[in-house]
Amino acid sequence: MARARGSFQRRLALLTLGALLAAALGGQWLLMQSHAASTHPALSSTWTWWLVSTRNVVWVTAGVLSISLCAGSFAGALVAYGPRLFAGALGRLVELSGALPSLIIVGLWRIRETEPSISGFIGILAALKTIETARLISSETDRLSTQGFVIAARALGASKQRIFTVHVLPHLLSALAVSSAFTAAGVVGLEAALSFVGLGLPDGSSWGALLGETALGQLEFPGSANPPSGTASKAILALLSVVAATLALYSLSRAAGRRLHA
Amino acid sequence: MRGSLRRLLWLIPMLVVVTVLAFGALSKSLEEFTPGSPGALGDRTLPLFFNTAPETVADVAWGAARRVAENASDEKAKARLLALGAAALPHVLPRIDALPPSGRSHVAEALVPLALRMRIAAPGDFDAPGRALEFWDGYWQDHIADFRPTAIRRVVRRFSERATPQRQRELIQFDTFALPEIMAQLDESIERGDLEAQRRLCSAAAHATDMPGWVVAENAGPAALAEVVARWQGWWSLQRTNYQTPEGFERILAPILQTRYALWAQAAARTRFGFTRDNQPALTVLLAQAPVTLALLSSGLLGGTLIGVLLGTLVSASRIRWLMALEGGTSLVWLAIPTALVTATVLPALPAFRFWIGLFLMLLLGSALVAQYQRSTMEATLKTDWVRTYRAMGASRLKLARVTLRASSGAAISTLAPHTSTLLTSAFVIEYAFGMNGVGRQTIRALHDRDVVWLMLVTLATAALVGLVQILSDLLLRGLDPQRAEPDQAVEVSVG
Repeated sequence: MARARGSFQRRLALLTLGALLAAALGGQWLLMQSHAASTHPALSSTWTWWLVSTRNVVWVTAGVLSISLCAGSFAGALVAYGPRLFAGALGRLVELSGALPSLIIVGLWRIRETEPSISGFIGILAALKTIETARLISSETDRLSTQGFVIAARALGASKQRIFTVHVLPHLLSALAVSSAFTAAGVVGLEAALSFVGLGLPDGSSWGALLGETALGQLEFPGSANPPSGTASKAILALLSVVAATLALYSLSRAAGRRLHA
Repeated sequence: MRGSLRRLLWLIPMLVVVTVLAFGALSKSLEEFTPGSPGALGDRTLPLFFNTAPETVADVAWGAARRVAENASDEKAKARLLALGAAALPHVLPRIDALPPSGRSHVAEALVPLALRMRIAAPGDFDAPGRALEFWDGYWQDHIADFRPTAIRRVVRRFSERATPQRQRELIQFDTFALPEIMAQLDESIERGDLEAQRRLCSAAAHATDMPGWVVAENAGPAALAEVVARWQGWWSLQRTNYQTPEGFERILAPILQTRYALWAQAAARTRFGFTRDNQPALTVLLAQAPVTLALLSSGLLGGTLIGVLLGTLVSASRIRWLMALEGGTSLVWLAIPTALVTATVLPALPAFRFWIGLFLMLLLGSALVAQYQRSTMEATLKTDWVRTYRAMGASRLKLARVTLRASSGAAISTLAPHTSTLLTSAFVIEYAFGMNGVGRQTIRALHDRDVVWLMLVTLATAALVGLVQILSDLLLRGLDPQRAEPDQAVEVSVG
């Protein structure tokens, strides 16, 4: 019974993420069409706006996740198996990045940029998340290196690279899967918060930007009888998208964590 | 204790590194930390952190004079000479014969507006061609003995004691050459509490630097006077190297001191972090707005941690799978949804309760952040032998939760510092969304306005706050587990 429920949840999560991915591709197609026709997509339409926003959010989240997972794993392995200098450097980096709110770090970065770009936004968020991932990998690797199977591999003369890739890395996947869900949720939330204060994506089309606009509109014109057309439906759609994406990621990460752990 | 002390000592270099990084990030918005702004020395841009070729007043003045001599229409060089004012004269006039004849005339002509500012000549004195060169030649021969520190000190002291028209004329003749002594006397008058002297010295500095806006009105109160005086002190920290040749250690350290970072640090130290874009003393504004932000942060950090620890413990100890899944899912959704925005949208008509709603939101966010760590550690603790023994002896789930609470809450406590910066971001957004008058709202405005002074101050303050929370968390961990050898080795767990 529990297994059937788990399978259903997994399928539902995959379906949700698949729908969001399809929406992102739809948004990309819309942008390419309007680019070819040298026009801007009509963002006043709720669905068009949702497709483009979903495309931006998926692009940012996927970019940040893939960069932070690859670079963070590499950096974490370097810290665990490389010279002590790397461990010290990571420790200081963690302290430095943790010393400042992300809002200030991203804000300072945005001030540096002459022309804000999505890639720059992804880059700075990925850098922050890379440090977190590297820290997780290094601490988990340290923990695993005292386990019997790692000691046995070392005793049999396996190289550091082999120990990491063959023996340690598979055990890290569970932690990485769980951490990815939180990273993705954190990126979606951070992007929304940054868009709200005007430091988010350059073109301003994202779930968070719309929620921010709605919130500010309510603050400036509380109880407005004539809100801008479609704003409420867009806000609800944005909120549903955030919740669906997060729950799907959570469900998948739990399933992946359980399977890899087993 | 030793670990906490070490962290406290490490905090100082960390703050320096944080300010260096933030300064580097803000380097494109640092026009106000280049000597000469306000004024006409704006094109003299200093390096950010290390000056491989530090310049003295003599270098800058003679360089500008040579450029004017070579090209009479070089307006930037002319403006630089004028901005340097009389401070440039001892470095230009004695060497003017080294320039070609036409170049000498160009330099003398460029210095005519300075003669008018010093009130040592009238506009009609320079009608005939070549008159300017003759004038400056004669002036320097007559006044070479006046341009000495002892003479200046006497003139400035007399003026600060009593500003008769005669004494004012004497001081105006020395223009910017008197600035080092004016600023020294200003410091002394502050120590004495002599408000009239401060007012007079500010007006003298304003005349010499051609900044008429920086004087104190006759009817201005002590607060307005203190603000203008602080402004002059900050300005002097930034501009001093333009008017005064460094000596001794200062000369040796010139490659470091003649940088924009060093100028910012000096100005920050002298003026309590300077003034924001809207001319408010930055530190005063920060102290006035900090209570709102700190209240939100405390709610998330302390209240949230407490609730998160209890929630995570109870959910884990109950071993009800759906409750655990629900707690994990809601935590994640809570992190992803910009709650402040949603709440501001849903509850716009409750402005009176915004502060309390903000506190509540921070409480929920803090507990969502901590609960996941607590649940993860609690699950590991429940698998240990001593807990299994307890369970085998018939301990109830509630009892198990109670006895394992202390052992399992280390992870949650160790995440206090990393969560501080996360919660600060949330507090800033909540302040902005609810229109609360806190540090976050001002910071977001500063990010848009590129208010370097405020951003540097907030960067420093948040880094110090996170460092202090880290020390607090170390002490708490020691209290929870006295056997803990090193506070650095805080419990590391994977989330989930």
